[in-house]
Formats: sequence, structure tokens, C-alpha cells
Amino acid sequence: MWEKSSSAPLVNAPPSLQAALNLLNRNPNIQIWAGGTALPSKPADQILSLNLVDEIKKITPWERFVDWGAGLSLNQLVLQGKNLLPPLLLSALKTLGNYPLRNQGTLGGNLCSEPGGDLFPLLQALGAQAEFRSAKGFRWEASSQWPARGLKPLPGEILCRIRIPKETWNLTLFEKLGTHRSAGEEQVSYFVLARITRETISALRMGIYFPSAGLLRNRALEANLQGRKLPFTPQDKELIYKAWEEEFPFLTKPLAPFQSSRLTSITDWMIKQIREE
Amino acid sequence: MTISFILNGEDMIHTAESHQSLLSVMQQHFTLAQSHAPCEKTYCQRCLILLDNKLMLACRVPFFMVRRKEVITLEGWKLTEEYRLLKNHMEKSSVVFCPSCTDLRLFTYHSCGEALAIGEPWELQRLMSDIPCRCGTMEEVTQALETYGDKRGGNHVGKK
Repeated sequence: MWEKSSSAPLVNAPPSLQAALNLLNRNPNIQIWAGGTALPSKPADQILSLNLVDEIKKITPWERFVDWGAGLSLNQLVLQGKNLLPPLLLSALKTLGNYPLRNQGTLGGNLCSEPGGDLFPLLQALGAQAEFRSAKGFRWEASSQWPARGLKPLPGEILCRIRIPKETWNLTLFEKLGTHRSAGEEQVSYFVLARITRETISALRMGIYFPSAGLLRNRALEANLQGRKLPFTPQDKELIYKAWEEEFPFLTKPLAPFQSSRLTSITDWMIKQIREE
Repeated sequence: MTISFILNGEDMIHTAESHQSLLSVMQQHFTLAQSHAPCEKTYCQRCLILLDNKLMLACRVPFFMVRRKEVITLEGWKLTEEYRLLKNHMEKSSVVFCPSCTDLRLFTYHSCGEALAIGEPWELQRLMSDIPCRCGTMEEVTQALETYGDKRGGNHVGKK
């Protein structure tokens, strides 16, 4: 766990969300603890354990969206919400860590870790919203406002719910290269969400996520490709490569040569999948 | 901090530093999980435990998290009837018993029934491959577990 020399933190485990928020209001620097799979290098003086807070472990289906408690473990999402989860998330969840880690890791933890976990770009693509609560009230943050590298609750706030719209896509593709054992640079995941009617793209979201460098997703490209007839022409392909290049300056780290070569082959593969659909 | 919990069926009241991992507490004070040196990076899966019936890695569970919970270690589970049945089945299936990984694979299989029941047919293979070992018996253990699931009607991989 932590270094042996560090002093033992004081652990608070409030039984309700209100008690947790009150505690956080009095001490905004307290370290929030939910799953504990991503440990900070040094423990804080005080820990706020959310293990007993049931309010953040609920799944609430509505007519047009589903609210997912941020305290749900990744395996609970799969087991309890299998019929409600978008297929994209379901396939991504199974690739996260290993089974015991998924029992411990939480949805909120995956989104708030630095950089954001694998679910972060997917939820952005799905148009999710995050609800943060504090002792003073609550606020919703739409995925378009989310920071680039994981959600950041303000001091005194707890991420409580993630709202995912119910939408149907006829092409859902998620693949991940590398496992949790691989070095950061060797990991890459990519996704495609597309609605295709009569060989015409009516909606498209696609991205390639390098946890070590950031997300490549170009909204202008997605808008540009809407209404295109399939299969893609060589010009469309060029357009996609160019769109990725436009995103390079926003990456936190330049791509290594092997990552660039992966980018080319992954893009080809994504185009092929869209064309086959 | 002093907390109470159940360890392998026995009520315990124990004092340890709140930020100590459950693994180090088990090794230092309960002489459990001694047979191996876990990686503490979640890779080796040598410190599997059941915390309130959920499979977890003891190296990632801080001591404060086990308050009022039930912990079952591999050593504790090996005393159960389920383990005896599984081991008998392995022997009947002529599986070479690897002292390093076979027990862990059986423990994982026992603990992931729900996931296996709703999972894809390759779910068991994936679970088994998560436990790294160089013995090369993974395939035969997986096959033997599949036939065990068929016979028992439970943990039937890929059956909804």
C-alpha cells in the first residue's frame, strides 16, 4: 500500500451522502475514497470512505436516460445493469483490469482518475452528464464541458451520478490493445458509434484513446462525415487522417513512432468496420 | 485503529494501522498468504480473497475497509466442501496440479459464478488467463472446470 513511514490517516466512513457532504464541507481537503484501486502516492491526514453511502450505488432508469451511481463497482454495472448498459460500455467494462479489480474499482473512480480511465472517452462520446453534489447544492456537467484528462470535482464536491442517454446505434465497436499489465504507452483503445441508414451515415462518433497521451477525437470530422454515402472514398480517408493530425497539438505528449503506426492501422480497421456495416 | 470483522468464519477484533493493506495484516498477524510474495501491483493475483463474497485483491484492500465485513482467504476456502469437490474433479480429470496456480484458479472459478452465468462462452478462459503462471496447465484446468460446470448445472459458462 503506502510507504511504511507515512502516518496512519484518520478514516471517516459516514453512513449517508448528507453526512459525507457535511464532513467534506468542513474539511474540503479530505481525501475521498471509494474503490481504492488507484492509490495516491501519499495518504492524506484524513480519508472520507464512501463505502457505506448507498445513495451513490443506485441505478435509476428513466424514459430517455439511465442514471448510474458513481459508487457502483465496475462489476456491479455489468451484473446489475446488463440490460440497461449501452453495448459500447458493456464491452469496455469487460476489458478493464481483471475481475477482482473490477469488483473494487468504481465508475466514479474510473472517471475521476488522472488521466481519465477507459470509460471517460466513451461516456463523452455517448453524451453523458455528471452530477456533482456539495453541502450547498448540486450541479450537472455535460460531457462537452468535461476536462480533457478526467473529471475534476471542485473542493467540497462528490461525483454522485452519471446520466447516460438511451440511444440506439447500429454500429458499436470498442477494442482495447494492451492490458492493465502493459506499460502506459502500449495501451490504446478505440471506439466507433455509428447510425447508418441505407448506406448513409446519419450519425457518427469515433475516437482513439492513448492513456499516455490523450484522446484523438475530432467533432468537426464527425459532423463532416454525416450524410456521407458508404463506402468511404480515398478522399474521405484522407480527411480522417488529416483530422487526427489536427488533434496532435492537443495531446499531452507527442505520439511515439510505434503509436503513430498503430494509429494508421487502427484508422484503417475502423474505416473497414464502418464500410462493412 | 481497532475493528471487528470475520476471518474465515471466526469473529476477530484486531488493531492495525488504518492504511495498512489487508495483505500485510494477514501475513504479519494471521500467518495467512505466506506461501508466496505477492507483487502488490495487482498483476500476480496471488493475494485473492473474498470480501463479503466478492473476489478482491488483498494488496489493494486497506485494513479499514474490512470493518464489519467477512473475509475468506484461500486457506479458509480450502477447508470447504466446495473445494474438496472441485479438487476431486481435477484429480478425476487427470489435471496436473500446479501448487502455484491451480488452487487460485479454482478459487476464482468458485467466486465468479454470477459473472460466468451471464458471461460469454470465453469468459472462463479470460478469468483463468488473468492468473499468470508458467506451468502451462491453464488449458486443461479450464476444460476440467467446463465439464464440472456441465455436471453440476451451476457456473455453466455462457448459459443465460
